[in-house]
Amino acid sequence: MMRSRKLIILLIIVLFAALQGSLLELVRIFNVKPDLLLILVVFFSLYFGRTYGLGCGALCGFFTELTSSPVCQGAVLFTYSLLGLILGSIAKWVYLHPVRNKGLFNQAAVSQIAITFIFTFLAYLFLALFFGMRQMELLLPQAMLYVILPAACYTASLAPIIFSCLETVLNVK
Amino acid sequence: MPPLKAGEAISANARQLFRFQDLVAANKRLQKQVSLYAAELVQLEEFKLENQRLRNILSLPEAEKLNTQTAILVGRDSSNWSKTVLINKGLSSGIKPQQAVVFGKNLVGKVIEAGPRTSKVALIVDFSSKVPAKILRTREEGLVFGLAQSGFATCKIKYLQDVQVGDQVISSGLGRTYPKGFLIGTVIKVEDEQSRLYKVAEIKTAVRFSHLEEVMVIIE
Repeated sequence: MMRSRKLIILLIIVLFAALQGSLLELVRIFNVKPDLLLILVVFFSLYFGRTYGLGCGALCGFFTELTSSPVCQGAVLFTYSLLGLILGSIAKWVYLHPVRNKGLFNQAAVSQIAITFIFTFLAYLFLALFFGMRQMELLLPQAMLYVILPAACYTASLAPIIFSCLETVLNVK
Repeated sequence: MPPLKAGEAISANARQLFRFQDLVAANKRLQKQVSLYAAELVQLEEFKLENQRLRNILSLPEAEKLNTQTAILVGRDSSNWSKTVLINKGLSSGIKPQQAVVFGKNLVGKVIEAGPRTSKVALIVDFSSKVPAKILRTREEGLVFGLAQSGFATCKIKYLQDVQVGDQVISSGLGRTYPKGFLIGTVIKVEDEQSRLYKVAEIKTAVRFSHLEEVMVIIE
């Protein structure tokens, strides 16, 4: 049972990584696309705890870096893993689980949007600071305006739909 | 009714006559243009020969003929930060890291990783990208940086040098990666840097990267 769940999770991550690098180019808004892999990290951390959060974060970070510029040098992998670990550890205090709130647009959905927004914002801010420290041509106000805020909003807005699909596929309701 | 039909026929013929006159005028105009272009072509041929003669006198080498390999884009960057693409040619096609990638006479980026059958290309708007460049109008030199976050590039040139909105920026050929004379883009905004050591020109790239499907990798 556990092994099949891990296999399904791995397949979901691979599928989302493929989508992230291909079809999502078509839905770019304001030069950003939603970070599906980050939604996965948030989902697995909230539903399965810190071990899964850490593992999923590492895998998602790895897949993101696989197609990115080599200047990332493990920064995305580290950030996503740390995010999974922290969120997995505090999940039971911060997340309003959908068991008590049925339907897509309920309190759980608001909670999903809020948590995804905050953690996408923090992860992207951390990455911006890392790239800034490495003397890349990246200015924080511009990064905030053009990448961090739009990406956090776009990613968070998709969270309830992805969460709902994953809850059904993994039967975690 | 015969009188009505006759009237219609006359008006149709008159219309055709006017159209014919238009066609004659257009034909004359086009013939003039063709003769002008023919004269310009002769003049260009003359300049070419003169250029060759002067190169011979000064012992300058001929303009480089570039050996290119055409490749198709098969993947894009999955993050919102860096700007890289994956192409379907690799080491087996003679592609190596640090080779320049172009689209026609426009600069696209450079190969940063080459696998057996695929390669990763960093676009000129990637934040790791730095391209030695020149302002086409004034020949002032600068360095073009990628600004992945906005999809634009910026060119830094010395403070006292002249750069204006609308200027075209080309690769200068300095360094060993990017060949000379490829168009990078057009200046859309010029600002002074706070230190007043440089002017920063925002450049709209000549290539629309979101619409890019094929590229050419310069092998030699």
